[in-house]
Amino acid sequence: MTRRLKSVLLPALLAAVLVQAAVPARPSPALLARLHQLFPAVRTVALLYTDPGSEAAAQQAQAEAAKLGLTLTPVRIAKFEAIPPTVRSLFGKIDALWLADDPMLVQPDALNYTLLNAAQQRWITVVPREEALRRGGLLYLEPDGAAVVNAGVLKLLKLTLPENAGPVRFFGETQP
Amino acid sequence: MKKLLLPATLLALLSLAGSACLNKKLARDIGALDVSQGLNPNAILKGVEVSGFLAAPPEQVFAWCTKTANFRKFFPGDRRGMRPDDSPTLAAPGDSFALIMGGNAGGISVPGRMVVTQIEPNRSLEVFFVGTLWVRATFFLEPAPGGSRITFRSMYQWPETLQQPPYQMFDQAFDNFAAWVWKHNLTKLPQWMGLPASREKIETGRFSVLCNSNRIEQFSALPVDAAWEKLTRRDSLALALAPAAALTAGDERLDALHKTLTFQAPADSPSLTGTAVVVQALPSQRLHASLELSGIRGGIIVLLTPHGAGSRIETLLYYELPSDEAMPPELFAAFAALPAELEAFLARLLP
Repeated sequence: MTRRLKSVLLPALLAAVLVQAAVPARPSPALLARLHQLFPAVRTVALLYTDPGSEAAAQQAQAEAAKLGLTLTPVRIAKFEAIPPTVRSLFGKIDALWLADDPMLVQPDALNYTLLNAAQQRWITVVPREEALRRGGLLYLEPDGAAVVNAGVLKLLKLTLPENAGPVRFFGETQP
Repeated sequence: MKKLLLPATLLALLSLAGSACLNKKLARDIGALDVSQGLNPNAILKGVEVSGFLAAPPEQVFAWCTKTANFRKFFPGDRRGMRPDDSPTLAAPGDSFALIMGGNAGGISVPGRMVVTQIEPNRSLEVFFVGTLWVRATFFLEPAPGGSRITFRSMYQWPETLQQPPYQMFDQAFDNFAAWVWKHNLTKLPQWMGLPASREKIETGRFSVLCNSNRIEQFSALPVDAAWEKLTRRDSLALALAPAAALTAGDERLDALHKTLTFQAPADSPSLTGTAVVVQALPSQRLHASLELSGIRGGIIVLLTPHGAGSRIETLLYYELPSDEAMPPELFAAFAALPAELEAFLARLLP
């Protein structure tokens, strides 16, 4: 490989890795604030995650959420079989569900199960990847706070965005 | 070393014997468990799939398999033979036969009934076993050079109450047992049919499917008999599941085996389309119907118990979710709204 190609390729690869890594797996204060701006009625949020190494980050997110008047409860799921009872244990207790970008949680069948239950419970769902909106997620937040909202689920939940929602891109065929 | 060997061996043998006794007791407990006390189907369905080749055309294989006396051979644990109320052939939804699943093989013995829920002549047959354990088994036939390719797909589901200690060991045990049974069946099938043994290897696979469920509990001033009469009207079930549905076919009442219902939503309606087949009906006590709702397989169970002068109605709607693909938006919306609509309908129907 020529030196010139290396000078172009390696930075490009590094940038790609950094961009990927920049997708937030845990709610940052800015993203929590964005959630609050879009859905001000949300008060209680459950953060589902699986990685035991993320416990500290989850607790930090909990503290940051409290400053915004949100009660964020980290809920760790240790194995796949625990997903259904864990989701059911949240019935009647939360307004919103934030899914961490953990491989177990973003498996197609896990997403189908979690997001359908979330819609039945009328939870606001924040999904870690835009493609998860296709499975019934309501909101995807990009690292810079740009919001993508599933128009169909928004209509299903009979919700409207506030006038000060800021820039929002809609996912789905119909616009609200 | 020799001094330790004999006691260690005796200890191991005693442990095995003790485990076997414990397993048999637990197996009997499971078979006798009254699931009406808990309607919490396990969210994860385990499945086994086996497929192989038979040197006979699909029509011949289908005709053989749908004679109940032959189909019973697929469940080696129950050697009692035909019962008076068994359907002689499995020709239509609702045809059924009594069965002891496991038949004490492996220490598992679950009495129940196997009911045909879907049938497509010469192509597929689906049966549903309802007891403490639920099993949905489908076999598919397709032409292959020189004969047929047959695939058995079997999914089973213990109630969630049986996932807790001390029963949880049966989940894995039954998983292995099911895989063995279906491979055994496919190996024996040529011999049973008088065909040459297949030289093709039997393919086996295992899978799991997530199953969602919605439970509704309500109380009605109506006594159980009156509530049963209202619930089992065919338009009740259709409208409960698909408010915009138009009935296309079905029995006037869904209150016994062999009763079926088909409903269809208008073309421009987001409502579900479906079929229901009764798999268990205990008048004024329990109705269990297998469902297909716009391609999603599942079921509905309604339990009635006296409550003062009225009745307590517990309804469970359960359905298998797609493993890979996303539900189309209109189907997702219909299922998202279904529990609330079902609850509202039942509250109006049974004040």
